[in-house]
Amino acid sequence: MRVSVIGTGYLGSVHAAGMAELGYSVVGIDPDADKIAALSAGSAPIFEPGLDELLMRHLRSGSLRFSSDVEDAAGADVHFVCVGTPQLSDGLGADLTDIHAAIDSLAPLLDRPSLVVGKSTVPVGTAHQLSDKLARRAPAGADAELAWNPEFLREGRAIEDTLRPDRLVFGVNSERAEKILRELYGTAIAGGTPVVVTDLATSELVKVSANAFLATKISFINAIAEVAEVSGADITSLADALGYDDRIGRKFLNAGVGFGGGCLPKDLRAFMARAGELGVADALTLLGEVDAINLRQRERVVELAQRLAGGSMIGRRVAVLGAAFKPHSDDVRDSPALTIAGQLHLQGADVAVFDPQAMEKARVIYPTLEYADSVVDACTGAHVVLLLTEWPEFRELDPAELGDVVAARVVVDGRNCLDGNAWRAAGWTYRGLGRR
Amino acid sequence: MRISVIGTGYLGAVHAVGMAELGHTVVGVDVDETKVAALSRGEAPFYEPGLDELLRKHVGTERLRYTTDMAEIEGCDVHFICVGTPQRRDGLGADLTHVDRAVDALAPHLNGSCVVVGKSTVPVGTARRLADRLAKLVSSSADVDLAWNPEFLREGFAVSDTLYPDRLVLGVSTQRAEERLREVYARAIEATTPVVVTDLATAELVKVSANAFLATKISFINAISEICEVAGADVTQLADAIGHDERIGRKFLNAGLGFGGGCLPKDIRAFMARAGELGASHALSFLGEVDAINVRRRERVAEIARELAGGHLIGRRIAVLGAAFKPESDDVRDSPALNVAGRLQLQGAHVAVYDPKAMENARAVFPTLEYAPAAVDACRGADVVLHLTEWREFRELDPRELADVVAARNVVDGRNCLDAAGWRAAGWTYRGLGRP
Ligand SMILES: NC(=O)c1ccc[n+]([C@@H]2O[C@H](COP(=O)([O-])OP(=O)(O)OC[C@H]3O[C@@H](n4cnc5c(N)ncnc54)[C@H](O)[C@@H]3O)[C@@H](O)[C@H]2O)c1
Ligand SMILES: NC(=O)c1ccc[n+]([C@@H]2O[C@H](COP(=O)([O-])OP(=O)(O)OC[C@H]3O[C@@H](n4cnc5c(N)ncnc54)[C@H](O)[C@@H]3O)[C@@H](O)[C@H]2O)c1
Repeated sequence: MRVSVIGTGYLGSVHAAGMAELGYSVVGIDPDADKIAALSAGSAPIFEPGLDELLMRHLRSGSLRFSSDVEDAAGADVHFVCVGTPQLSDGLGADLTDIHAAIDSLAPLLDRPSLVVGKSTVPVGTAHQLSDKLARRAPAGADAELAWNPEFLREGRAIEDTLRPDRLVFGVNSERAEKILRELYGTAIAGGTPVVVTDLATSELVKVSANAFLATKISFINAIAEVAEVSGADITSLADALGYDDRIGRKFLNAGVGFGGGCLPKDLRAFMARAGELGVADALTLLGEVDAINLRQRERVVELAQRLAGGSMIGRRVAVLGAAFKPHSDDVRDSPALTIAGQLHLQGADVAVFDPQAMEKARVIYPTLEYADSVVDACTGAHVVLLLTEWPEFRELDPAELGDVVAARVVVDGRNCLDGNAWRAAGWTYRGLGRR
Repeated sequence: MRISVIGTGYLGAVHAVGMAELGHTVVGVDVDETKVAALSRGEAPFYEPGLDELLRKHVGTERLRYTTDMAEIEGCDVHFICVGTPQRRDGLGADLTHVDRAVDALAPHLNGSCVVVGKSTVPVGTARRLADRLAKLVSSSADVDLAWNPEFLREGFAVSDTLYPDRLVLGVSTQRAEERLREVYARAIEATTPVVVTDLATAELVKVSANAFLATKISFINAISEICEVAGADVTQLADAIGHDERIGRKFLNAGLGFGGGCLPKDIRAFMARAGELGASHALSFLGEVDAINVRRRERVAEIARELAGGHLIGRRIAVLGAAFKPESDDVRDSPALNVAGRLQLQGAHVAVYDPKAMENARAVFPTLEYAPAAVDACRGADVVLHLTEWREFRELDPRELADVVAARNVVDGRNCLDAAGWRAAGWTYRGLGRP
């Protein structure tokens, strides 16, 4: 089968490489010429473990190529749409400009039976609209069909998630579309991945609901951490105790500075906006609380740093460990680490940031922060050290060694992942969130 | 070990006989004479699968007795407090008078070395306060300390949850309390039940947080089902799809009429009230949304019933299948089924209720509803049939047979568990929640 992937950002570049790995002949399309040049040279414009190797292998074998000309997608049997759907710059809803543009450019090329498969995260109802548009504009008419197959990959494990997903959701209008998708994902399905076949609207909602639930779970435990803090309880053992209940589960119950990234925050807001358009805004006011709890965690860390620095940030040096919104990623979109760093900087602190992978991307959006070459550099002379992204190498830091370079041994563990006792034993003032 | 159980309601009656089954010598104490008389005859004062058998096995042996005389607890090694902590009449907080009275009544009878163990669900900080109260009241000859061991049993599975809990949470301030409790639960611990040992405050918070999470999960999917309704999506397929994500899990994702009973609603309200007292009300304002979503489902079901009845309810006959707040229970405290039945009656409908186990309890709280001896009788002449508690026998109803007795074939499946296709095939207008 010949496959095209329209939009080769985080999702699309991995998806294109993954489809090649599964044995298909793949072309990745993106108007961003720099991105295409990098991908064609086998170097991903993003950090994703294993991606470069995969790209290299399939570029060499000839089963994978990239192009900035959408005409090169003509002739494929299946077209995956993976373009971005960011938050509108002037509202909470999703900006669907790119996805409409992608369909507009693709439709005239569809002169034979083909399947267009949406993977981007979209507000419910979008697929139905796009499907009408496709039928009107494609020369093949109704034979150019639309399906929705939302993507659940996690950055940092994107390749594994693409090749062996935990579930496949097919939103389809016909048996033909289902059959093609089952064939495409034959390897995963044979390997036991469950498939949920449903309509377009349900498949769109599955994706935003899953993200909304994960966001809710994170904000839930962070809200409880706020109560734990004022009642002298310990959120870590509380989460362990909750997690044994299999209706709850321990995963995503780590209290800390909360979620960020290019998906959860924007998806949450787009979901609320869409509910409003559908006349049921009330249904999702819960998610407004989830969003508020999440943003409040960032403020709490800023306040905590202020208090520990003696009240005023002016002239204080702060080391921020972490810039990516989560470890094993260089994605800094809506990163809690960077928003905290930015706020402390605005309050007069001298902020030095270190991240193992995300320095370059961080520098682009927060050029006025200082970027250090190593953890030790960032911490040298610091009055407060903030751990804000739980990279394994930060967990393994030796508090005694670090104690020698800082100006004051004060650490805020924004991810509750350090061994509080060990840091205290090395003379540090250790503060977690919701932890004694 | 010699054990006393103070308060023998749902929790205490099961806990007492469970402790006897584990080989301990148990005395159960309650102020309610009728309850104690029933238990002493080996009869459970409420319906709980397996409880009668276990009572018959142990009552009358030297292992287990029930009494109203507090003096009989003298000499026990461990005293479990299992009295009620209902919602206050004048607010959202928990009414702690029973717990306080139980402690006051217990204290004079304590001597030697013993541990008082709270099992009731209480606001964080209560245990600390009770420990001080106890210290003031007990005689100098007694060596007492207080622990908190919240209970996670589910009505309907109470016996097996007591004998084989999924986790044990021990909130202790001394080694001795921990050792005693480990001895009490030795059998479960050997059988690999995980134990979380923590402080009093964390133990108290674990229980209310677990209930808050479960309530949040239920309201989450119910909020999504509101969106599904307007977007034409199917919440049951959606739940299957997001449930495959192990960070979410399929359990407690059944959209429907929502939660009720003697625990979840009062516990989340008491939790909010307590957060307010601690100055952290903002942390839990999301639970207000959870509560509101839940109550809104009751309104919605009443609304669908009214729609199906032709726009008004005056003089319409409505059959309500289910009165207990959940199946395998006769508990009608804050029951969604009865709440809906009551609403419809207040709007002029003639409502006939049937429940396999909860008729008597229902009649006590809603005496003006009609109670039918069987599902068929409740449905006779009905304009709308509402399925509101998912007892197995309701799922097994034959829609063709029932069709012959109703006035109009309208069914509202408030638990989304009837076979919609089967009912429709038999000529019914079937309405679920959040599904087409
Ligand atoms: N990143 C993730 O972890 C993830 C996971 C699941 C779903 N998603 C969803 O996938 C979608 C893409 O997310 P992303 O993180 O890859 O975003 P991204 O911004 O990294 O990538 C989007 C790409 O689409 C390209 N593009 C824009 N307009 C185009 C057009 N008309 N034709 C072709 N290409 C075009 C852009 O140049 C960009 O390279 C979003 O809807 C997102 O919510 C992302
Ligand atoms: N029912 C459940 O499924 C469940 C599960 C976990 C926790 N809990 C918690 O356990 C506690 C008890 O709940 P329940 O459902 O068993 O309530 P319940 O109302 O059925 O039982 C409480 C019992 O305590 C007795 N009592 C009141 N004051 C007393 C006193 N001073 N001395 C002795 N007995 C006294 C009452 O007569 C009654 O029999 C509550 O805090 C509840 O939140 C209940």
